[in-house]
Amino acid sequence: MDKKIKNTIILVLTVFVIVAIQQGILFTVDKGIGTGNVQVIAGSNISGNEQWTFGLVPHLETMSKIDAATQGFKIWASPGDYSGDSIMGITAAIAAVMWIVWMGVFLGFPGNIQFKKERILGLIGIAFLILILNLVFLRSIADATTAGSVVRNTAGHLSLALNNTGILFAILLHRLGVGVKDPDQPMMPAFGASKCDKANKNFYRKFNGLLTILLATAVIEIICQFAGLAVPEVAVDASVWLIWGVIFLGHFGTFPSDWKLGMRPKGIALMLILTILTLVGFYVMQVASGEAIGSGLLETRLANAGLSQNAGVSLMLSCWLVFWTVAVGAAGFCNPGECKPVESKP
Amino acid sequence: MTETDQRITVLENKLHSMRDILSVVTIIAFTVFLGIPIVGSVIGIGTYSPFFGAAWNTMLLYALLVANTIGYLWSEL
Repeated sequence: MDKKIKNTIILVLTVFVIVAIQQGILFTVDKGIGTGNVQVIAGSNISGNEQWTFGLVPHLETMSKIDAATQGFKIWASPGDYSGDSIMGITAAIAAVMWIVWMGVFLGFPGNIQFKKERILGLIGIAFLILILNLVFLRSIADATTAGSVVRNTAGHLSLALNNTGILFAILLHRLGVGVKDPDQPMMPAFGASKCDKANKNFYRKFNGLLTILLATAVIEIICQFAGLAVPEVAVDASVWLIWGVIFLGHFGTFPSDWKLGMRPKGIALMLILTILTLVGFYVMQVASGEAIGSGLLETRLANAGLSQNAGVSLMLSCWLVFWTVAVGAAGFCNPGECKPVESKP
Repeated sequence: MTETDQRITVLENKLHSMRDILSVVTIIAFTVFLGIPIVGSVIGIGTYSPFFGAAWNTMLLYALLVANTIGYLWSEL
């Protein structure tokens, strides 16, 4: 087997283990609150008496939901707000994207791993930024919150905010030169890099392709909304499709004529197959765990919450497509193959 | 230059100016299209809206979109 493919399999399996540990810890925190209970900010029932360490870390107390409501406490989190157990398939997907970016792209695990000082420091810096930025936002949104839990108002589910910030800072710091392997390669759309790709000849070709894919993914989102496959948070649901569109272009080329080159058709097929398999896998886990872990697919909990029971399908598809595009790219399936001479206009 | 040539040149110029107009319109349309959820999420901070979702998270996702898009456009792929 190709060494690159073998390395990618190791990478993906490692990522899955880390994601399972991360989500498992958050899930335990969720379960620790207990059904019917909520976490409240200590002292928040009296104006001006809220207890925060350094103004950023709240003092939390657990009490029953009814007590919290009658005494007028500000709710910090309800069960499920940390890991998002009802849509675990989606929160796990975002976590998987973050860890594959950190491990595979940033650290070069396992084939190209180089424990350069700036990469390790970069990751520590990113982790610090994630922590501080999210705490600042949680604090500011805690002050603005009048109804609902603070964590939910801030991020939907805490793991989503943590992992999204993780991806964003990894990309931004990489652009700024932290832990860069090749200065010509951007972070996420990195693996398709090839000097002979037609796309590099014309900026407007890329730009037009970008607008086209944004429109196409927006249409996908609209279809999903009307088919009852998407959560009602349109902006959130749409953004992941748009992001996937851009990442897809970065990996497989701008227009369908680029997608046919070299290993790419195989890569696109693999990406689709693995995405479907992941969805099936999460559905099996949902059934096996008696819906303790939700996949967003034929889920009674979503129906009970007043949504379509398939409301998670759109996000499941888009998030796992992002993950598998990056993974397939790491395995070298975005290689356009032999350089052909580019036709030039007379 | 024959008359046909001249006409073609005029047509070409018109086509180019129309292309330019179209590209400006497209850019503005897309800015609005992507700006709505971003502005919405800034306004929606602290409240959970079905249109924007959790505000901070929505902004993060659009920041990711922008970072990826700029990374793609700027790359020498």
